[in-house]
Amino acid sequence: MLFQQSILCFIAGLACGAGFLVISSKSPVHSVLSLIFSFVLCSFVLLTLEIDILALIFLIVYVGAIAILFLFVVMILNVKVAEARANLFQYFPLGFFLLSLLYFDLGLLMPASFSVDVAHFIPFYLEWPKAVLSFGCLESIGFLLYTYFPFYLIGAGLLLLLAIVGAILLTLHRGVGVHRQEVSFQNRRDWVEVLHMVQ
Amino acid sequence: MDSRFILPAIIFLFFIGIGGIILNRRNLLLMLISVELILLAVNIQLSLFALILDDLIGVIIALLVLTVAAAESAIGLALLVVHYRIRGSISTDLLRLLKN
Amino acid sequence: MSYPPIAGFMVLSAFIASFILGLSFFVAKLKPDGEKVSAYECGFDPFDDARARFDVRFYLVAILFIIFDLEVTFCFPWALTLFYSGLFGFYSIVFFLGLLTLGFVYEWQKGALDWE
Repeated sequence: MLFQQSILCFIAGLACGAGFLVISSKSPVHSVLSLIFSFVLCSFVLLTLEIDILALIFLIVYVGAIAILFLFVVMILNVKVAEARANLFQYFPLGFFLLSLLYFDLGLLMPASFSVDVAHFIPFYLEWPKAVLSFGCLESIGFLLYTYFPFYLIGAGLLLLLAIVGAILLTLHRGVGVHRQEVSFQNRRDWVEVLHMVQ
Repeated sequence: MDSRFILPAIIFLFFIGIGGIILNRRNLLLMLISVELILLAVNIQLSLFALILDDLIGVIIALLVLTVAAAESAIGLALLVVHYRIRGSISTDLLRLLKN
Repeated sequence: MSYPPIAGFMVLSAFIASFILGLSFFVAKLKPDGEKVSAYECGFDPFDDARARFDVRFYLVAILFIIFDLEVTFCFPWALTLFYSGLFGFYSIVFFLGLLTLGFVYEWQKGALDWE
């Protein structure tokens, strides 16, 4: 147990260090790479706590899609080094003030211990320990998501639709004078009508 | 296994993200990356609380936050590309041209 | 759960990767020079680095990959609990897939998938 806890502390500390590298490195490429490292380490934290399917989903979506998107944007924009950051500490007092305010706010909100009165919080459908023990994490998510929380699913679908439409509207510019390839026209063309015998 | 001792580290990751937004107000790309870091910390917290409180709703909301993170990065980076095409730089100083 | 084999596998792979990298770093002759890493131009000094900028279309393809990646993620639990979640669960995910199909049709009609 102590071994597992020390491994968890080590991984979480490494993730915090990677996060610090993200915000402190000069080049955007380096900060994106540190972001990938932080994603992987947080996924390891979840894997060590045996929330395995969520860890793998995080690995697929964060590292496989979002970080790749950031790398693509870095390659598109050709940002070599971040612009002059001489006044890095210009906003430091304001930032420190806001951060400490948020920290004390969180400290006020956070209860001292999480000894929850479980019987008070149990909803009508809750038999999680049995469900998780007999079915596993992914199946219990499936039992919950499609029957008890379908509106979250529909909301996620609407959000993804919004992302598709917004991204296409923002970035797609079709050139005016560009000759495009029309595959169906090319396939429809009959070679008998095109071929002529030249004397 | 008691996993509460991991919570302060993840809260620290959250604060690193917020500090990244506040401290570097020059580069739009780094601000988006910091938003990703914040959402990652929130996600890990949600799944940890789902583990601690024995409640699977945290996992489902973590999936939703994942969706929000993906859509936010897609549209935010598209806006960044458009801003770069118009202004020729990704500095946030040009964002307040509308004020004058 | 039995994660120690995975941990051993990861340690072994990290060891092999660092061993091969370190071997090529220590055994080879190292004479670093600025001319070696700069872009080659004939007759004049290079203006810029050799990285070419990507087209924006790659970015659009990456965005669409994200969207459908998340769609598949939401479909994973459905595949396991299809026979338990009843007709309501079936139609909820069908509605979800229909929304994304709408997005896909929009994208096809706008020509985001064509390559000029």
